[in-house]
Amino acid sequence: MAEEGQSPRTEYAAHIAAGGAVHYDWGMRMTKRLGGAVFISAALLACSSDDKTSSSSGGTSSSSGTSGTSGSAASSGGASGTSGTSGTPAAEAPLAPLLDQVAQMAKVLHVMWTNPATKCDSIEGERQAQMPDGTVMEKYKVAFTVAGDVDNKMDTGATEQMKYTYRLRCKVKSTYSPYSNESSETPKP
Amino acid sequence: MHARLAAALTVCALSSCVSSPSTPAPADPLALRAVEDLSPDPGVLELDLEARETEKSYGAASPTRVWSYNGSVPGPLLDAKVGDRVVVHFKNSLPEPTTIHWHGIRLPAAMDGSLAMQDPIPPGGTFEYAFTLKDAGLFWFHPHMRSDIQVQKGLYGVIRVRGADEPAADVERVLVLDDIRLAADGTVSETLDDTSKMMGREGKTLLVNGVPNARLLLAPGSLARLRIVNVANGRFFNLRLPGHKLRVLGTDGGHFAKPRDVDTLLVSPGERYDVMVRVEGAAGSEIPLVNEAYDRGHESGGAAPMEIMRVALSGEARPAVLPMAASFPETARLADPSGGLPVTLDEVLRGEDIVFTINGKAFPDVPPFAVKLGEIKAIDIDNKSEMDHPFHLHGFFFQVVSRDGVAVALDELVDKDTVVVRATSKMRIVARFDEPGKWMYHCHILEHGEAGMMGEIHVE
Repeated sequence: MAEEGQSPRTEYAAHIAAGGAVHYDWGMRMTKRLGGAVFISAALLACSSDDKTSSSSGGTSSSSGTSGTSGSAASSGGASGTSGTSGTPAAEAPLAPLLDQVAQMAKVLHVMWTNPATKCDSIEGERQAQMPDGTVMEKYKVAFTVAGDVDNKMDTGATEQMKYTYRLRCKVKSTYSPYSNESSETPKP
Repeated sequence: MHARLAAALTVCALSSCVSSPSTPAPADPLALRAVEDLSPDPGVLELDLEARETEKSYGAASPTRVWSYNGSVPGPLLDAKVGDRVVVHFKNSLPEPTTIHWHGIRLPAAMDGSLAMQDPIPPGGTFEYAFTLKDAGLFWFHPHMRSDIQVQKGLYGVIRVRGADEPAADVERVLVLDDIRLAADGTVSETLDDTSKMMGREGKTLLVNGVPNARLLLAPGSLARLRIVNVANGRFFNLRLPGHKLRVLGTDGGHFAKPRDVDTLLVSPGERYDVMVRVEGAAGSEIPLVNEAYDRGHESGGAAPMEIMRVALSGEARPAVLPMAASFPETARLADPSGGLPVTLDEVLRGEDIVFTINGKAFPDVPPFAVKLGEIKAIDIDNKSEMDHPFHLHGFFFQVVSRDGVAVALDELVDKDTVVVRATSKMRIVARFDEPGKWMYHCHILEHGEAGMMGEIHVE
């Protein structure tokens, strides 16, 4: 547990460094804790950079049941740079992104995350597609790659009436972070 | 000292709001700067206004390079009264072209600052804006080209126009609500990611009169009149002052016949509200002004509330002598004509990009409407998109006739220039087009306007 007075970002980093799992409700817990169960203080938010940490654009700062976010981290990522591989992160692997929400739009999904790592070169988003009966139609593969300071992506490749599940990794040079938590959603028709 | 400046300073002393630009920074961090009135005529407000780069601290490690009017963000507060002539000698000292749009002010089209009627003012260029103030209210000014960037960088200011019957209050404050998106190095982030394209850029640093973590000092028991404007690119402010009712006197260009008390007040980008509140609490206590979650579409309603500023109660308690404003003259309802200009707002994916359209087109491909000079014309807005859009009409006030076919009650009637059209809803508005020229209408989420949700009405 972080010490009193630590910033939420610091606490999150400490949590991860201590081997803690990436939970979907981290943002909610922090919201409650910091704000006396009422609100996030602007004193904590103001003056902080919007790059690399933002998850609140559009007012969608926290994930909950709507996006089907899983409650545990996905499998750890490898350092090889290949998508979807398992393995152990490099010794100095960056922190994993926190997948906040996958929002439904018409024939598209909007993926939003928080990135606690400060120097990602890029963020890779991987996507898996499943039929309603659970049949995996498409195994995890890279669906998009964005700059390291970006915290959201409209995935225009997710257009079918299938359940799409996402996970993310931060990449620094050739080193990957562990995978983020997973989150699933189906586009609106 | 000119008589006008002396008068302005008197007003500002009363409202504790200003200082001369030549004086040191005011002690009240929420004070807006005044302008030096160059005219001795009390009926003329004449000023120099320069858009230029400057530095401003938002509390980050390094100062932020911002764009300013006369070196401050917000720009200066222009205080005037109905009937005054405003003459602005504008100089563009920015590295790119700009214009000034006088948001909400009814003026000649050539003075409106939109590119429909004015060429961009190049770097180093000048332009003289001159117009007469027809209406009381709180208005604001900002660029009307690359406005998503230029406003975000700090180019905005306020005009307060006083009428004959201003409601009395112990104190009056102008609150300019904004947010800013700062990069890690303290610079204003111009990143336009997918969320910003869709919702408008939102920064995590909330500002009141350009100040993060602002504190507004008010005496316990005082009757405060708050003149609120939202100048943010995309952020909606859903205001709540815990333990207090907000009495909403009016909005944009007028007052409600019967002001109403509310717990929360939604102020969309571009809108203004005139609010009264009696400040309750003991001296030394602080009350947060909270931005409550508001669902404006695309699952945006789950955001955690954010504190915008704190009302700090200080000084001796004031006896409740002044009553809250309880009524205003009714707004004359415009006749609802038959027919209307159809404006369908939508969002569509084109390739990898989301495009915001009007009648299926993105500006400048949106065909203009033609309206006869002096005609009262309705606009039927059909918002087919899954998010709210603050619809803004230049140069004219309008009245909301109905929402989703339900007529607006007489006591809700008020002159507006910006209104929230809820997601997947319809709204009928009516305006009297009594000034010739080419006038813009657009969504005031600035990224939407720049991305195509804009059109023209040609009045001739």
